[in-house]
Formats: sequence, C-alpha cells, structure tokens
Amino acid sequence: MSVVEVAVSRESGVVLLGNPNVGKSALFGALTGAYATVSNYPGTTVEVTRATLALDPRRIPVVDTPGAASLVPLSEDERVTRDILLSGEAASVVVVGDAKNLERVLALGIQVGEMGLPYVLCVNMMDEAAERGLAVDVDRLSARLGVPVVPTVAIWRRGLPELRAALKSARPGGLRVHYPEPVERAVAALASTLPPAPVTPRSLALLLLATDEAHAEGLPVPQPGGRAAVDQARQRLARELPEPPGYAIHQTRHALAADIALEAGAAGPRLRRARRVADRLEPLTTHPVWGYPILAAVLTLAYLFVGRFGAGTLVGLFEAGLFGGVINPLAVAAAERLLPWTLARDLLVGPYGVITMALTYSLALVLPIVGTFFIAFGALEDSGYLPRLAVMVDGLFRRMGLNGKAVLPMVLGLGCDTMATLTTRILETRKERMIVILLLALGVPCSAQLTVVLALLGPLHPAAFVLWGLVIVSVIVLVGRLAAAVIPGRSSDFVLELPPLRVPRLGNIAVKTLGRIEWYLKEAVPLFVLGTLILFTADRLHLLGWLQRLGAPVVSGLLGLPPEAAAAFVVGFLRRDFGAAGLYALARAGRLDSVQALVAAVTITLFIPCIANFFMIVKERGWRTATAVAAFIIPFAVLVGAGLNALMGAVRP
Amino acid sequence: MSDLCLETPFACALCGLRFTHGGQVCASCPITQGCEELVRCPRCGYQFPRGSRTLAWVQRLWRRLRGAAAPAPAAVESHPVQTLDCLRPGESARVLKVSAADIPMLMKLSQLGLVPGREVRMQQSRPAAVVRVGETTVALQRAVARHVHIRRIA
Repeated sequence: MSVVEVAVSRESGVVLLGNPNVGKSALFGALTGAYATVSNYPGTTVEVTRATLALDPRRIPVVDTPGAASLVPLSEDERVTRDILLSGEAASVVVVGDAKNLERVLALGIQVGEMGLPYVLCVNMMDEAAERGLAVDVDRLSARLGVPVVPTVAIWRRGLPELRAALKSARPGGLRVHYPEPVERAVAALASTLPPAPVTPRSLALLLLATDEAHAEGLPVPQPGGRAAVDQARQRLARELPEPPGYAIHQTRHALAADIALEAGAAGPRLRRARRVADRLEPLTTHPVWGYPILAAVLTLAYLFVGRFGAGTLVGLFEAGLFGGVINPLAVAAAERLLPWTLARDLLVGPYGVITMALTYSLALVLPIVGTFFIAFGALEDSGYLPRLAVMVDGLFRRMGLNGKAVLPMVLGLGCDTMATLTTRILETRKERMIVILLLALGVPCSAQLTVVLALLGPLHPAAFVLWGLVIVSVIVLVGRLAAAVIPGRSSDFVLELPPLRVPRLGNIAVKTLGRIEWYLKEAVPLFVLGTLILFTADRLHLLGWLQRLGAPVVSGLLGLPPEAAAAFVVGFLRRDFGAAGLYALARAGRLDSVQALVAAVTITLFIPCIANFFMIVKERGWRTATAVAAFIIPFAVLVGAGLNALMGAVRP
Repeated sequence: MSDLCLETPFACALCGLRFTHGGQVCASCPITQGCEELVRCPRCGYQFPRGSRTLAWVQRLWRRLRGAAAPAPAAVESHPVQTLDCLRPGESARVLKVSAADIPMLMKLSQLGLVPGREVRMQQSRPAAVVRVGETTVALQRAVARHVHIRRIA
C-alpha cells in the first residue's frame, strides 16, 4: 500500500504519539471518552485505536498509535506508527512523554518537527516527576522547541483542558538538528530526488538513511535511482562515518534531546525528593535473595484470591447456590411444563443440556474463577511487578533458549494462551517465539483451565496440587531445553526497562476486568454451547459410547481413568477448560479417586490447546508448525499422564 | 555466566599474560553453552578451562574470613577503563563508549539512556544486572553489559 492511497482514504485528524508506557492510552481515553474502535492496521496484526474528540466547532478523529521509542522502526509496532505519520492522516500530532524521562520524548518530538508536522508536546506523569523531586521548566521547553508544551497527569485528568486548547496552536516548531557533515550532504542529495509526500523531504531522507532494510517497505523511493540509490548513499555514508549511519543520526538527535532536557531541568539538580516506599521496595523485588520470598508471597496471594476465594467461595455460591439451587430446578420445571417433546427438553436441561451443562459450566464454574483471575492479573500488570519477574527467571529461561523477557507471554498465558500466543511478538527471534508458542500450547494452563484444575485438586491433599505443579513445571523446563536444542536459530540478549512500582488504581482494574469478562462471555460461552451440542448429538447417535470404547485402551488402559473421561478430552479441544470441567464433573460424581484426579489434571493441562489457540498458532506460524505442535502435544500429554499413572499406581492409597 | 571481574585475573598457561576478560571463545559459536568454561588468551590465542568457580568462591570467602584483602579486585580496579559488568552493586560509573555488535542493540541501549557521558549506578549484578540511569531502571544480561565501557566514579 503506497503512502498516497492511505492519505486519500482517511480524514485527517489528531495523531497521538508517544514512547511505550507513558500513559498514552490513559490520555487517549480521557481525551475522547467512550466509543473507541480498535482495528488492525492494514496488512499487519498491530492494533490501532481510533475515536473522535470534541474540539470547537466539530468532532475530529483521533488515532492512538502503538508506543514507539523512535520513528526509525525496530519493530512492527514502530513501523505502523511511522507509517501513520507518513500517511498524511496527521493534521496535528500530540507527542506524549514521561516527565521523568524527558530526553526520550524530546527525541521523538524532534523527529516529528523534522517531518514538518504541527505538534504539541504533552509532558505526562508530572505527579511522579514531582514526587522524585524533578522539576520541568515548561516555558523553556516550549521556547527551545518552538511548540506548545502542556504538563499533564492523564490518570487524574489534570491538564486536559489546556491540552485541548493547545491543539489549536500546534506547529512544527522549526528546531533544526545539525547532523555530522557527511550525513547532511547525503540527506541533501537524497531529498532532492524524493517524490512529493505529506512530510518534509529532509525527514524522509533521514529515515531512508537510518532505517534497516527489514523495515524499509512503506518508505518512498527516490526517482530516479530507486532503492539502489539509497543503498549506495548508505554505503558511502558508512565509509565516511566512524559508526553505522543509523546510529550516528540517532546519536546526534539524542544528544540534542539530552541537551534540551538538561536545560529544562529534568536532569538538573534535585528538588526535595519525597520518600517513597517504592524506592525501598523496588530493589528488593529483584534482589538475588529477597526477590524469591517476595515472588512466593505474590504467588501465594494470587492463589488465595483466585484458587480459594474464586474457585472455592464464589464457585460454591454460583454453582451450588445460584445454578444448582435456583436456575436449574426452575429451568427443569419450566421445561417439563412447557416442552412436551423429550428431545427439546433434553436439549435444554438434560445431562448434555444447554442450560444444565453449557451455561452451568461456563457461568457458574468458570466465570467466577476467570473473573477473580482477571482482577488479580490486572492488579499485577498495573503494579509494574511483572517485568521484575523477568529479571528473577532470566537464568532459568536462558537454559531454555529464551531470556527473561519470555516470562511475560508465559504469565499472560495463565490468563489466556491464545492472547499470549499473539504477544510472543515482543520476543526478538523466530526461535524464541517458536519455543514460547510451543510451551504455551503444551504446559501453561489458561485461567479458566487452571482454576478448574484447582477445583479438581482442591478437595484432595495439598500434596496433589504440589505434585501437579512439579510435573507441569518440569515438563515445561524439559521440553523447553529440548526445543532450544532442536529448533534452529539464535536467542536474543536480555535488555528490559523496569517501570517504577505503583499502587494499582481500582478504577483502572475494574475497567480492564470488565472488558476481559465481556471478551470471555463473547468468546467462551458460544463455544461451550457448541461443545454441549456436539456432545448432545454424539450422545443421541450413541457415538459417545463408541468413542468411549475407542478411547478405552488409552483412557482406561494407560491413564487409568473411567471411560467417560474420553468425552472430556474430545471437548477439551473446543476449550481446554471445557474438558477440565468435564473431568471436574466426573470427580464431583465420585468417579475419580485422588490418583485418577491428579493424572486427569496433569493430562488435560498438557493436552492439546483449544481450537482458538490452535488457529492463532496457524495465523502466527502457519499450518505446518501448528500441525507439528499438535502432533507433538497429543501423544506427549498422554505419555506423561501414563507415566504418572504408572508411578502413582505403586503408591495408590 | 559468572562475574569475571570479581575473579582472579586469568594467567595464560602458555605465555603468562595476565588478563581479565575479552578473551572469551567465539560468542557466536553454536556450542557456546559448553564453551563458556573456556577462556582464550588475547595475546597467544591459547585456550584453557577457566577453573572452578566454586573453588574460587571458597577461596575468596576464606580470604575474607581471615581478614586478608582480596588481591584480585584491586588488580582489576587499577585498570581505569572497564565494562559495565565489572561494577559491583552500589558502585557508580560514567559511560565512555557503547560497542554492541548489532545496530538494534546499540539503538536500544541508547534509547534507555546508556550513551557516552551518562552516569550509571549498579543496583545489583545477580540474577541479572540491574542498573539505574537517571530515573530509568534497566535490567540487562551480563553479556550485554560487557558492551558498555565505563570509567568508575569514586
């Protein structure tokens, strides 16, 4: 897609641009209110959020771009951000940054100014800067950059009216960066050969010289000369400069940004620094000794909240109380009075009924657990603890051909493996993405499944839960190590910024949790209904008995489970928690003893990913990989289950 | 990867050159995993196993218990220009030069503030190094820290 095509296809408006994790999305929400639409940027899977903003006399469109450290892209996200700016969609730009890290946002602002796009600099998180005794001289910044500068605290909606007002006086600023002489020469030569574009030729020439070939698509090509002319200019420049051209350009820009930041006081002498508890706590969370008890405490708290309160108290209330005591008896009574046909009655309230099975499983059994998990996970995300986890596990993950950063998609996988598969993109190499996708599909139980497993093992001795955890973790580590040896490619180095620890805000967690619950209801409940219908049909056609006999050698023989468990494994492919819930129902009916429950929990945890996860793997890595992953996982899960069964058989109580 | 800087400098078994690091065997080699235990003399290219880490730790502990000053770090500190992985927790330094092999890594370190002239403070060196650069906290692997050349600030 060429730059010009996009330019005509959209009405121009405000583009929100900023470094990652500077509260840009909070600002977007506060500026535009509700009704944002999220869509994939054409040709990519990067999500871009759009909404409108009331600005007298009309509403204008606003785009929230993916967080970018620079407009010379190093990732697909950054490339999308660059392409949006180049597309001509930006009538004006709001450059959002963290007041504690002025240099970084200034580097971004300078680039926008170079493009000739009118912009406003929004210095967000002023409260955190003040807490740390950092002053920001807004007027001086504004004078140096030549654009309006607005201090804000987006989460408390401070400074927003001023930002709206400043939008009207957005300007390019006209700050000129003086690059080393060879760069200036190359830029001048290249700029004169570029076709007309919504941004300045100088900025395009700089982008062409600095951008890696991998992200060059989407940039205009000089006429005459084409890509070859750019390559030639880059090579000449590389010979003339002591460092690579991209780095030299980047350094010059950053040096100027650092200079301005220093002048504006952000890096200057400290004011009174407030004593923050977080200052004491932050080093402890990654401490080689204290980090581990803290990790254990965090996990225990999460377990108590989700495993005990959610899976115990709430499920009891919902399943036994609401559904078992009220809804299901009412539905059965109503069906018996209103529906004369046995078939229709069974369809709704029979053993494989939509109400008695699909809705009871999805709403009474899984929803309370998933809900509490989302709350706990949202709090963890907002606290800034998760990146610190990456530091703690870096050594272990290195042995699996990964680095600590890979813990982020893995932890996210505890929420939903499908979403987590998508986020493997934050990993740098193909090898790392492959390993994490495999481990997610194999061993990381998603929230719904995790909690049904908790419910399955809950009534047993705590040792069962510990054993389950040990088996799963060792399988992950073992398969990870094997995969690291088998999958070709290289691993990347570990560099990660640690955000400050913050006290999560309740409002924010509530909004996130509700969003995720809505997503769960939309995605999971229809699949539960579909799975129930399949089971219902299979039951009617007596396929279930046939399936159970077919699966008996494996299910009963190898795993030592009752033959009915075969159905649970089949529907487990629709959603893993559905399968686990089926086993849970068996356990409730007293059909599983403690060894059987443990074997069943381990096997269903390792068993094939749900259908959504499978298709996500297809989407990310293609059919071949997805089939290979499935072909490995199914026999492997049964193998581990059988091994455990044989081992536990010796100590069966 | 262990902390080379805290250990006794290696003495080449062949030519006798004393060196601290920079002599690792080919980082890009596919069998680096097992190779990590090998060091190579920067002068004569002779390769030899680096010796037991556990033993070195016991030796250091023994020396400390006896109250004797550990001679090795002193010898290392006398070298003014070092890399970031040599800093011990609590120490500060000024960045002189960043020399990562690939440009994306250079850019990334620079975006995080690891650029010549900046002051950095080592917060911890294990399990991964964590450094403070201004208001930014950066966690990095020791192999990456080795690309950042620094001068210690007293």
